[in-house]
Amino acid sequence: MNRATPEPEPTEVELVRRAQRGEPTAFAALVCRYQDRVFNTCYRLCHNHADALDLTQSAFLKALEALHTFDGRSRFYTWLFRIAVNLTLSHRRSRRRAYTSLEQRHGEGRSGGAPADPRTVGVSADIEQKEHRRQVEAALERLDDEFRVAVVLKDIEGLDYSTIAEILNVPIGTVKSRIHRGRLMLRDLLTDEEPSSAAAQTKRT
Amino acid sequence: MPQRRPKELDSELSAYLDGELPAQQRQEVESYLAASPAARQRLAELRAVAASLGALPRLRAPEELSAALARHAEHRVLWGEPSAKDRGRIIRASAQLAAAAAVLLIGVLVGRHLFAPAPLSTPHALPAGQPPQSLEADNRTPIAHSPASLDDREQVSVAGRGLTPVARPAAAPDAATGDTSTSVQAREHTGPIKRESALANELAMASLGTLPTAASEPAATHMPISPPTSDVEPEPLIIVSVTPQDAIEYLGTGLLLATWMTADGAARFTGGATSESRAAPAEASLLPSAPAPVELTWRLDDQAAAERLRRLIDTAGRQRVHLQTSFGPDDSFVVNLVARALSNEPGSSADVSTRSLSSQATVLARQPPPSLPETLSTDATKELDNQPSPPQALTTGGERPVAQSAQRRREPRGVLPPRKGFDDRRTPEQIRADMEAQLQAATAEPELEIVRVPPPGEHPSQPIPTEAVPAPAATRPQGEPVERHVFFERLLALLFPSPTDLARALSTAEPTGARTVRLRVRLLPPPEAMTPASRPTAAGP
Repeated sequence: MNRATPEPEPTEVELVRRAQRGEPTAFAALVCRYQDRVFNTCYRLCHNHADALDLTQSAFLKALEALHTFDGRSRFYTWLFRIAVNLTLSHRRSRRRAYTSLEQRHGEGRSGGAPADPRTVGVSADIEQKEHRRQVEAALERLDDEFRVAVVLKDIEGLDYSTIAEILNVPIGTVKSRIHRGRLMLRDLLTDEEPSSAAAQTKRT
Repeated sequence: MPQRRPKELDSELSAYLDGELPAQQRQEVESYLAASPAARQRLAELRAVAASLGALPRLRAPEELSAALARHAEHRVLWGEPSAKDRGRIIRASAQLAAAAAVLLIGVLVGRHLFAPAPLSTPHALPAGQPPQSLEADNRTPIAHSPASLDDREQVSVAGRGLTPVARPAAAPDAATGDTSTSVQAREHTGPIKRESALANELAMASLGTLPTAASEPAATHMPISPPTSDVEPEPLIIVSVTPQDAIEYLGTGLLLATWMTADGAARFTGGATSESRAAPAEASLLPSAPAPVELTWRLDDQAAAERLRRLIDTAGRQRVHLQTSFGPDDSFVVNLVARALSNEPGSSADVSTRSLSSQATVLARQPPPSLPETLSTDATKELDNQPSPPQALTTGGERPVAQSAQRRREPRGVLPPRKGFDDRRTPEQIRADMEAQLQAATAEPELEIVRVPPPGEHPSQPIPTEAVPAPAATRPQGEPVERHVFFERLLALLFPSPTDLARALSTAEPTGARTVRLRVRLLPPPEAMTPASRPTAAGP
């Protein structure tokens, strides 16, 4: 008895090839495959939902426009992430020049004090966890872009150093340094300390 | 290999943690960790930081994103390669998407209709073959039109084109697409104009992925996004024409509008008092199951309507937004709507000013000037008479033709020829003082002055219509000519071909000022979509 076997999912390479031939469905499949990751990364980098959506969309559009130039020497998602990260960093630079959003200020303001002691305030573990998460997000927001993007790609996206180096177009040693120093800065920020001298060296590296 | 210093080893703790060190270095770090409690402490801290980051919730992209992007990919295949500078936004934030999707058609009903559902007048159709007459030329000759079609009333001419709204028989709706008169939109895009209902269907089809192929669908086709036109009643309109900057924006806007248009299926909502009941198109699907365009009438307060309008403008075409409004005895509603939509939005590129026949002048722009704009002293069209507004006069029994009120308005010197009957002997200083004093007065009968900012690609040497005047410095892009179209009179004439019509319409108004306002959004093709042959010329028919 023959049982219908499900169609194997097309590989990324295959989808890219089909998208390059102009198949909208192939590009749509690529979008579906990576949109969450790209969106999440953009959000963690820019800390703004609307901007993250814009940037994700722009990244895909840019990828679509430049798809014919993609030669397959790197993975598609690496290429796509590079586009998204560059767009996001560029966006942040322009935004930084323009203004600091109220939302960001609000977030910073809330994270400015020492972490609440759950024993004294009697909050539940869930609230405590949310508070900690918020503190982590606020600390991440305070990192310089180069370190934030490194730790986001590593600790949130789970990419390896070589992939991050490819996305950021920097040597692996730089990635290693940025991740390490970014984590140290985060540690200091989460313990309500000024970034240590070791972390502060980051700008010199 | 020389023994490395603790500081060097310390810097590799993260790489060690991540398993990114080669074997030899890993052994060195492990030895270092075994010997140093402080190093172990740091490693634990680094691990905790990494774990905290990894524990952050992963956000999912909104579902609309993939649909919109997929649609874009399809659209790109059909439309071809966009230019390198194209960086449109198909959708913005989901919140904005939700709000923008609500803007295709806003009908506002507060209480009962101001305007009677019956046609306001019997059209005074021009004889066949008679050339259209210019409102400017004939000094506000009432222009006949068919009351049966809202399309007719959209044919508001622009300066420099003869200003020729033309009557068309309702029985020949296709003739209405023949562009015998030229709308603001059609002037800019001279592609064939299709019937709106058909085009609305097409848009819905496009949103469902059944857009006709490029061969069958000329890219330059005028694509108004609107519900099927009413066959019954001429109503006041606010027309928003959105010209996207590029094909990407065009598609995105089309999707938004299609979503909005079909969000509520075949429902038609009229009556009621607040906007809350229909204020949540956020949940609308981007790919509606029923593509049939429907007429949706939302009950909105002016603030909600303005917000949605503003978001559409912000989301979609940021180059040019034409707003056209009619009037009523209490048109502060409309003015407020437009004002709120445009005045406080730094990102809005629409330059719109409003003014009133009843001594009210309010300038609204992206960056509202703190005081009276400079052009007020030179743009005499902004000088308003102090006479009672026509609705007030008419409701008290007066039959003053609407055009008379318009006639009293001075024309800009050196731009338009002076008109008969103009009798304002105030000095410019007095006029200016009057204007400033009037800025704070309540609006009784507003009108919109349209400021057209040419797109970047438009040749600056292109002839500018005779009404063109400089825009306020605060709102005019550097070095770009600006056209101003003051078409209140024309709109009046189109809506109410004779003073009797206006009187009849106003007589149906409730004392509470109840009224219905329809808003229509027309999506124009992006400039890139136009073939050279179809690209309009400033003076072409």
